[in-house]
Amino acid sequence: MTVSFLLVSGCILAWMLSPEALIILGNSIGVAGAGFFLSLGGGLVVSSLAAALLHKPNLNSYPDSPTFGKLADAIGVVPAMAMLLASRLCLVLFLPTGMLVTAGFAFNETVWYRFPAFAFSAVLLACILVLHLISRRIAVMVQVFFVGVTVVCLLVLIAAGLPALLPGLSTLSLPVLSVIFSPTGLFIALLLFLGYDQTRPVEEAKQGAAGVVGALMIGGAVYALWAAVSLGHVPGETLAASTLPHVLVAREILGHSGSMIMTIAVISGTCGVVNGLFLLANTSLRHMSVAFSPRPLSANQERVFSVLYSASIGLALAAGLAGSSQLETFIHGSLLLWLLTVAMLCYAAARRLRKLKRSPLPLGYSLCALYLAAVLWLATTVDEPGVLIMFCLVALSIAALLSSLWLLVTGRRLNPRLLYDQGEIQ
Amino acid sequence: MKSMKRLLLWTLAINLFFVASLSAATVGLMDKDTLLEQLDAENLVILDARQGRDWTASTFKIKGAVRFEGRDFSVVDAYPPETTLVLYCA
Repeated sequence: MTVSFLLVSGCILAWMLSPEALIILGNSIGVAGAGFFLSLGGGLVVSSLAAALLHKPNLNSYPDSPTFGKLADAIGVVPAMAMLLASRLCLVLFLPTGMLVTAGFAFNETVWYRFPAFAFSAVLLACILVLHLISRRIAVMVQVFFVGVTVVCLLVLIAAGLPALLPGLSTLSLPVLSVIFSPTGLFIALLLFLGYDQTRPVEEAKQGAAGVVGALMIGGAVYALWAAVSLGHVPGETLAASTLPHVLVAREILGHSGSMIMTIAVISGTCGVVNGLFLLANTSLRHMSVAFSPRPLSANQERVFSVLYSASIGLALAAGLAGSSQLETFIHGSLLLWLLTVAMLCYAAARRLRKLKRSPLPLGYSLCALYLAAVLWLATTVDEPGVLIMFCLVALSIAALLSSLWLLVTGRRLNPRLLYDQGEIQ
Repeated sequence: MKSMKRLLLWTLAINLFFVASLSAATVGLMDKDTLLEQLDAENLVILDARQGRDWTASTFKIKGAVRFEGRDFSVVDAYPPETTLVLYCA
């Protein structure tokens, strides 16, 4: 296991091992029962194919701007800017707001009830900001620690919970056909495996497709084991209805010690996802900046962005956004925008491969269609689809407007080096 | 004249602030031990006023508590006047 693989895995598993993902996993396994294992397997296969496609060496024609370069080439400069800005900024603002509150309550209710939940959320946010103010490199290294602690905590609970299940494995009910062919399970699994579109947050984290797929496999294995333990210890209906299914399972396995271990997993998972999303947003902005100027964002400019994210999240927490049901819509919308970005990246990769005549198979286009179907399905099967779709459209429109204005005011044009890569300058 | 109007408005605002505080002071506070003693009382209803993540992220949920959406307090109308309503918000 190389340092590079650890750094890449730390970034890719940030969302997958977050408390939010564990809630989605717990609720889904509760609703679909053992049938969800098939969805998880399908999701892992599709995500691995997409990851292998996006990290294909043939596609690295834009070494300094891998994500934005491909996307701008395929769908145009302003749409590419709008897509990346909307998805990354919504993710970095709304997911941390929700998850920091979750971590705050976990600490307040399990570890020290005299310490206010919101104060703990603020402390965690400040710690992440300090990491980014020190350096991006440090933030990436500490990310491995956050993800490592979460994995260890989950594995301890799995190891404690699994032996009790072994005698009953033969009686585990087989999934019914309606569950197998339900698209919801597969699309939710695609949502759970997001994160592999993160590209090279630091120079040391150079990892080919095999490393990225390896990280996904680790995440998939943890999901499958945790799902099995959850289903074996807590009834499906209870898991489906709970707002904190992972906490229920941990308490059922090891009592108060289980709750404590899960609290550590929730806190480190929250730190991991907040840090990981800061890195994802800054990496995308850096790649975007390279496309318009020979020089990428300076370290100080990245620090300013991290301060801005933290200030916005802090304001949202202070304004009580966490106590509003709208936050769930914003989080759901941000995740759908992330799926949409992956769909567009698959399209861009497929288009690039066709140009290079290196892939006769329409794999990229099929993956793009599947991810688009997931976005549409997940957007239209919620309680208030209109509000969710409106949120996504507003986010994309604002990002497109800001991008156009920025290009107009600054008169920026694409970096000639990028144009050369596109074959426009010979 | 203008300054007089401003002064009157300020006085009104300050009075309103204190009147609101006084009316709020008439609502009693119940500590957790008292609530625990009365938990099985027939005319006691606990209204869980927590919204969004304040509720979903908390493992502390009072059994039998009634939840309501947003600021829609119309749920209160369903109970007879002699009911003791306990609002739980944190």
